[in-house]
Amino acid sequence: MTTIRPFRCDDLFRFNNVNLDPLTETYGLPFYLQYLAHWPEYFQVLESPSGEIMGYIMGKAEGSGEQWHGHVTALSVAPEFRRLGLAGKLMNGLEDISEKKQCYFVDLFVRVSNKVAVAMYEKLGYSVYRRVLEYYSGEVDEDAFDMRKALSRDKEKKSVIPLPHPVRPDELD
Amino acid sequence: MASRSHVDINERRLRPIYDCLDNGNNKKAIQEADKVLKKQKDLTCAKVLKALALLRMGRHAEGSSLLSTIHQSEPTEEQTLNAMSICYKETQQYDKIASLYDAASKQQPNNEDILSCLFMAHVRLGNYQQQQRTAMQLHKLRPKKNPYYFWAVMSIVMQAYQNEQLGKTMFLPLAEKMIKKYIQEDKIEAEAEIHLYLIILELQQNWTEALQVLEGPLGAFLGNELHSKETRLATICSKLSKWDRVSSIYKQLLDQMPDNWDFWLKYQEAVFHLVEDSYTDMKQEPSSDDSTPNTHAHLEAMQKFIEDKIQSMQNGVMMRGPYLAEIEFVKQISIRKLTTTSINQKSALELLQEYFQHFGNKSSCYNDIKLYLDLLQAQELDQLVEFMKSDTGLESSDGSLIYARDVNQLTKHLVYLQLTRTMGKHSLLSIQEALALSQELLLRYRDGLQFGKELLPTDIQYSDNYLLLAVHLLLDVWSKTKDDVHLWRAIVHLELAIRDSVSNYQIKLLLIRLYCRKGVFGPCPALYDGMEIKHIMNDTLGHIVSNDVIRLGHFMEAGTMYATMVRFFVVNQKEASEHLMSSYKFGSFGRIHEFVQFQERLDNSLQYHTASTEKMLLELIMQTDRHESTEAAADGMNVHPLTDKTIDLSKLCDNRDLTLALAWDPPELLCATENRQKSFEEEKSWLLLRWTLLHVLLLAVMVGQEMAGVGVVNGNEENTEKKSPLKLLRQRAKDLQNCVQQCQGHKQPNQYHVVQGPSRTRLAEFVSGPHITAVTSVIDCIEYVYSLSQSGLDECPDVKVWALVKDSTQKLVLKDVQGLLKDCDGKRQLDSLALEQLVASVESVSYITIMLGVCSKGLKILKNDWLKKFKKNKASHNSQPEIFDKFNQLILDVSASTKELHQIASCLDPVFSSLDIASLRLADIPDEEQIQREAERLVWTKVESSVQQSSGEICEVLHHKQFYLNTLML
Repeated sequence: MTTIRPFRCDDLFRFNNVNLDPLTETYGLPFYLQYLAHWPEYFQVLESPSGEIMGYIMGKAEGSGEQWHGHVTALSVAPEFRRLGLAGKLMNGLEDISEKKQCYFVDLFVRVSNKVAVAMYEKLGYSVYRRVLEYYSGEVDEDAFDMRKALSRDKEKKSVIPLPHPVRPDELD
Repeated sequence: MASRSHVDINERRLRPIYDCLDNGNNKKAIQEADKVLKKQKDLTCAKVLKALALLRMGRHAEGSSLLSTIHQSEPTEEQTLNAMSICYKETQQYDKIASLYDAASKQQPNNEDILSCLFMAHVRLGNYQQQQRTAMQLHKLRPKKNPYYFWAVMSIVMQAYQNEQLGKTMFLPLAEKMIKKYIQEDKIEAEAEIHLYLIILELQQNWTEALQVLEGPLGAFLGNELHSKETRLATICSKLSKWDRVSSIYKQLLDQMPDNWDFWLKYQEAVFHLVEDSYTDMKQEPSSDDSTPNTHAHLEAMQKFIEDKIQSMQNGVMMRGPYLAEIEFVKQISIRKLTTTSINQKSALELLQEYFQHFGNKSSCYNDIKLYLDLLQAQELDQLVEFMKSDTGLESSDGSLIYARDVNQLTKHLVYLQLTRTMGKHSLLSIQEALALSQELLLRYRDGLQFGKELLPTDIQYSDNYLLLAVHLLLDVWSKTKDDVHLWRAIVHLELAIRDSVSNYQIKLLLIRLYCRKGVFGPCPALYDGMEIKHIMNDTLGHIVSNDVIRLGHFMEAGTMYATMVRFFVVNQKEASEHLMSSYKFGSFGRIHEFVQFQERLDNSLQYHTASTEKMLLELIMQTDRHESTEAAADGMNVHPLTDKTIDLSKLCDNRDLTLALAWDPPELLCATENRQKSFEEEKSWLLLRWTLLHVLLLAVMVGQEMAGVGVVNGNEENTEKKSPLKLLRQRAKDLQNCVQQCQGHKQPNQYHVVQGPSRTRLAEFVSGPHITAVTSVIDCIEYVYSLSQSGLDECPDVKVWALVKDSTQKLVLKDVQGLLKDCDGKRQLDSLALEQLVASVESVSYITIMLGVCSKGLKILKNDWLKKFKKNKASHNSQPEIFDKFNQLILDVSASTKELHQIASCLDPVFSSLDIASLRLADIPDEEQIQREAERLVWTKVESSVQQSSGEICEVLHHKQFYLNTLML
């Protein structure tokens, strides 16, 4: 059991137990504050009964026409709170908001090597829409899967028909 | 059309300048600008871009004067204004952006863009009154654009935050009236506008009105955020004590989300209020029966609701929420001393046992149960331990070790062990028992590694917490016996564990802590960097290293670390107002006050002020081998000793994350709250002392410059009365002595919890040692030299100032240092105290050298004057005044003390003293496996090279000081 509530600035002082995970990126302050100012409803945090931050989700809505969609920018759960289905809970919340905003789909990027995450997103109804070459830069650049889930507005589920070929990051729309 | 093409031509001409600026080619940008200006003299924007290039090249005087000429001409052209804003932003002269657009808007009162930029300029300054005025101007210009009107309203609300009294009587009623007007005229367009209205009503605690808004037609605007409307409604209803309503709202929410803990707490709170109300009703109506049907009806209904939720999960996914809600229910009944005779209620013990049974295999179970341990009596706690023990299935009665079959069983066992530690059971163990348990947990840890073979390097091993527990037990024994062997074993185990779990930051945290405890900073930077601490973590986690790095004499690393920490804050200050501006643009009015508070919390951060003060003090030590370099270093600092007010400790914020390190000790041993408070007080006293010391040094340098006739830069204010550096120096010297006076209670170093407690400062050493006396003794010399520089050598009274400096400097030389090792009950242990004292003495000698540099500067001028006179008139002065010789003698004396310190520092170097740390076997670790022996050797190598580095860096600094001192001879 968990409290889901909107992320507040002060949470930035206490999210270390989540962000010290090596796959969770800590961004500069402007990044978080921009999301808080622009898409406050898309930035939610999970808090345990004892008051620790368990995880959070950060996202936004963007695109025009049939590309109007919800996007998951960051999703992370602290190691000691894994295996509780919390990520799924956060994703559901983001999908609900995107439904309210009448988005066509929700999408996210994930490292192709992160099998646990890919499997989890598949369980939540996401499928690989395309592969993005060398999306993550590092010592060795890594590809990303762009995964999508159609929302109710996309009745024919056109948004999730997989692309046959991978794309480069500069070809992303 | 004509004007449009005119603009196009200008744009085309300016393009090459912009390109050069973007590419960082400032020199070429200036050439390009000059080229354009040759063709078109009056193209102001080209001039501004030239100024920008000059500023970026560091040619501030030229750039600024060019800018100020353009500023006076009051430009109105968009591109020029834009470019000028960039210049002012980069030089942080935000007030000039406002005055720029203010002048432009007076020229073109109907220009919406200029006004809108002016509004944002005021936002950057936090000038709410001007924001309001500008927003109203915009509103009058474009009455149909709603945002402008609401910018004005928001600016009024910000004034209410600033002045609570006027807020209540004037600002908030005004803001409310303005929005009401729009509602009446049916002009409301957006959700943000209603949000702002609700903020205003809530600030005035006008809950009735707020309720009407939410329930009325305006409420339809809300609803973008999940459940935000329902929870807002419930909050307002609880303010109005409409508990019935609150309870039903949360019941509905729980029907949808039975695992949301906040909903459970608020639902229960509402029902308990109903229960209390029904008691009160009864008292008011004594005629009713003595039974309490209403009370029980409420309680029974709640209990049934919880049970239903638990029931409904039986065939589905098990959620912790309803189960924990049941325990919370029992807790509330007990806190509120309600009778539950008619209710068939399980005991807290039964419920906790059940909870462990269901959820023990989730690591979060530890934190959940810990919340409710208070409910149990001592005997029940034992019962719970026994229950958990048998439920894990891993504790045999015959003492043989049963290993976990899978991750679930392993996790459950860990939860059991952690809970028993929290109950204080580990404190009851004898030394032998504790060591035996630690050994058992190590075996379990190693066995448990098999479950993590498939894990990625970015994952944490499932069994790591076994190891942490084993290490914590070793540390328990260490605290009790003071025998370092247990601490070194702990370090060896942690060093081994990190190889199998490279991403486990808990291991790195603890290693840093333990190495520092033993005076070994060498391995810490790599561990710290390995945690990828960046951005805001510099504020919350910088404390992990910031006290120890300098305490242990790793000066270079300290410089790097402080610079990184300070950079975060400075960069943030430059960018801070961008988000405020976005919030106005997007209408996120709820965020604006939050952002302002957040920024204040960062600006007033203890870590920020400590790191920047230490950074500057360090620069005065490191970058100085002659007085000119000291003056250059001082000039480069962003401090204005003549105008800066004493740091206001009451404003400081403690943003340190002190709960990150896992520790399962009983709360009374962790003393988390008490330790934080105590450490915050210690840090504040320490900061004040260091801040004052820094200002003493900088003012002393200014006195020297004044004696040499160099104009002293008086802060950045031009019209303040001329202040005397010497007068202020005297004041700060007094402040410094007052600091020491007030810190008499800190003569003994504070010791905090070894795993989770904060790190201590060096306050004790500076308060009880000879340092402050030594530093202040030189201030008297400076005063004396200054008076001579005013009155001349003829009035040269014989004073004792030089002797005092000599004495106090000699006291800085440590006596009876036996190197790094100390005998402790017949065992040789590594002792970092000598190192810490040595570092402090090195610092003090450096400060003294700087201040002697000031004296030397004044005396050299006097000597030159005397020499000139002497040559002119040989008869009257046949011998040199003895003051010059006395000063030279003092320099020789201080230099001698410096040499002695150098000697001591070199002796610390294990290589120099041909000390083989490894062969000492400080920690008599029983020979186990090869891999452990290897790890142990590696630890000794790290210790050795760390001490070597401390010693080397200390010697290096002292070497520079000797050079510095030599240049001071007259």
